[in-house]
Amino acid sequence: MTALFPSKSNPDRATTGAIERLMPAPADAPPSPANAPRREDTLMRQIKPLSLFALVLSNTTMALALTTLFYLWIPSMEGASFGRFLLLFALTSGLVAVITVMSIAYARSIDPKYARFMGIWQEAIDLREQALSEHTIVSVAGPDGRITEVNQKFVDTFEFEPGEAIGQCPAVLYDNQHDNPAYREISEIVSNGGHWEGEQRLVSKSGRQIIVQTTIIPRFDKAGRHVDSVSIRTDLTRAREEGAQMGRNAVIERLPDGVIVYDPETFDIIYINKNGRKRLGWSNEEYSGRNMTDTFKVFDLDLFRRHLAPILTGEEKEVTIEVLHDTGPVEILTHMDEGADGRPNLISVVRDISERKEAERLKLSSVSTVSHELRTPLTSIKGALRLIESGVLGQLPAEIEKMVSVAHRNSDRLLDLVNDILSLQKLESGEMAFNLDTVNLGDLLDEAAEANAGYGEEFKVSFDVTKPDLPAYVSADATRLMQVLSNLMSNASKFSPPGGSVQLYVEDHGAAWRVCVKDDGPGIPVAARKTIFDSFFQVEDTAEHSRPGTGLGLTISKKIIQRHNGKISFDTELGKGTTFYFDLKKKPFPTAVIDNTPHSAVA
Amino acid sequence: MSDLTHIFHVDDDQDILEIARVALSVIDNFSLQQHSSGQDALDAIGDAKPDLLLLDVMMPGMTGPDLWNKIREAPGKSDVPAIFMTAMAEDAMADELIGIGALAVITKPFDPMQLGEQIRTAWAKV
Repeated sequence: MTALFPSKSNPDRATTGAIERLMPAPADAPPSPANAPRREDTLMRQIKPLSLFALVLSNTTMALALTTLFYLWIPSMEGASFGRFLLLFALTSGLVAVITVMSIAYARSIDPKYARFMGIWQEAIDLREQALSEHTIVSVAGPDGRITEVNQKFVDTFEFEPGEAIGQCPAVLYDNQHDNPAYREISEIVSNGGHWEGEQRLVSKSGRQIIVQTTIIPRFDKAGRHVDSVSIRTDLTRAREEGAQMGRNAVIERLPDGVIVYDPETFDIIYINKNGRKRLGWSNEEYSGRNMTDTFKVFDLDLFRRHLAPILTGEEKEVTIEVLHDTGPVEILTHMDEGADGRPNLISVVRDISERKEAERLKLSSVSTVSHELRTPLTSIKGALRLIESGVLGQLPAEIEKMVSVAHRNSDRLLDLVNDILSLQKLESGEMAFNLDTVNLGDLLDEAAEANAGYGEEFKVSFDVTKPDLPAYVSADATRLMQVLSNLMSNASKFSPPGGSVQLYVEDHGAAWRVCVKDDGPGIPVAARKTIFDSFFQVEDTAEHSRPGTGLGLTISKKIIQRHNGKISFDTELGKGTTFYFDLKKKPFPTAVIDNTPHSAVA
Repeated sequence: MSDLTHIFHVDDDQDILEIARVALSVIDNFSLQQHSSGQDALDAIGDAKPDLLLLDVMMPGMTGPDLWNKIREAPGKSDVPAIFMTAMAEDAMADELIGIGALAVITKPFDPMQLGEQIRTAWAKV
């Protein structure tokens, strides 16, 4: 900014104005501001030779005329020699010169008109130079291409230290200065005597882009030697920025999203674009004096403040919330930005998400459809096999009965797989609803033991529950936790020796309760430990009568526990057994029911 | 509570109709009337005197809940209860059906050996 205006804090610098000759003409002299001749000297130097010559000429003519007159007029001079004539001419010349000098000195000292004229003339020059210098960036480069002179505006614009620009190659003003084709092209044109005019994108010392309108004119001496080049530039950066800002404002005004700019403290609305106004049913003028609390029918200010807290404290760059507005579901993305006056503003972009919500709903039904399409034929297969196997339709020969039971067992397996794949898909897409409630883990273990008793019998394994001394409460979806426990218990049963028992218990781990399922199986082989939670991973099963799993149970369990912000893991020892466990944060007050409905914060 | 004797079963899948027939009228002794589309069921309902409707949820043309609403508009059928069967394992859907007054929701695959018992348990609520 400061480079665009004369600095007010330093009036001297701004008014000295004229092109500073920071380096004397000979290029080999060291650049030093102390060597710089003052402007007056320069002017005198330009004026002196001509005036001196005129003065000498007029005085000589006058002296010659007077001498001739005397010579012819004075009778005693008749017959005088040429030597005498010369003597007389010298005397007359001296007299005329003395009179001239005295006259000028007298006129300068006594005539106020003369003095005033000189003053006005000087002032006019100063003003013109000042105006030029404040508007224009001027630099002069010698024949070697190095900068020899710059004005203050140049120094300010390109952020140089005083004197720093002198001796530099103008390529420093160009991006990629070491090999800039634009710079090379201009150098070539100018050194061959051409003028160059056009728009340039240059860079300041700090890397700021500066857009200028430039004219470069080379100067040549009488012998045709390139003496220097003068570059005159007008800074267009601010004008361009303002133009671009206006363009951006126009784009924002026409955005399909609603854009609301408001004060972070008072929530007073500073600006709202066309679509934002349309959504709220406000006219162009109506929004002035409105507040964010007017934007939604039910606007909980405290809730909204809490939602914005992470960006107000700088913890987050932006925050998002989904809100059900009268006009449909919207997503509000808010961030903080600096306004034109330098004060921070909150900017909320309100996006219509009704289409997205509809798409999500359709996606949900596509999972449901797959589920439907796979389960319907399985219903018939399983149902038919179950009826045959039951014998109600007649007794089967033993060999056929064996085959029917193979078919039935595998249809069960296929159904497990379909269920697990659908569960996993719903978990991964976030479609699986979690209804958090207060769960007593001791009771849950009892229920799990009862529900899986049939499974235990199949493997000749008993489930032994040790209830915790104190009621162990967590906030969880009981159905999903039961799914996890069933997975862990079926694994434990499969790997337990027949006649063994699987221990179910709860441990106190400070802030969390740990639910453990312990078996006396062979332990998990070292090679399998890292990948055991991966999809379709199965530890080789040695039990002869085993019912194969889907390989998805632990993956699903892990995802369910993660959705509860918990942790699932295991301790294992080869030959001794394995304990799978999950940790869930303790819930101190078992009375309240947690509402876990997502996106209900503001509605 | 009246006795449950006549069940009016609608499902678009012929195989499931057949398994349900064996389960309900061979293993159990229900009087069973079956139809494979909502429209067929509506055409036949006027003459039928069902104690209970057993309706599949996802059927082309007309869903089970829509069919139930239409049947209840017929004269003398305004109180007929319904049990729904669905292959969509959506808790939300089951909750919704119970919410609109269904006696029970039986998920597919169902165990044909247990089907009669499941229906009787639900009927006990009437």
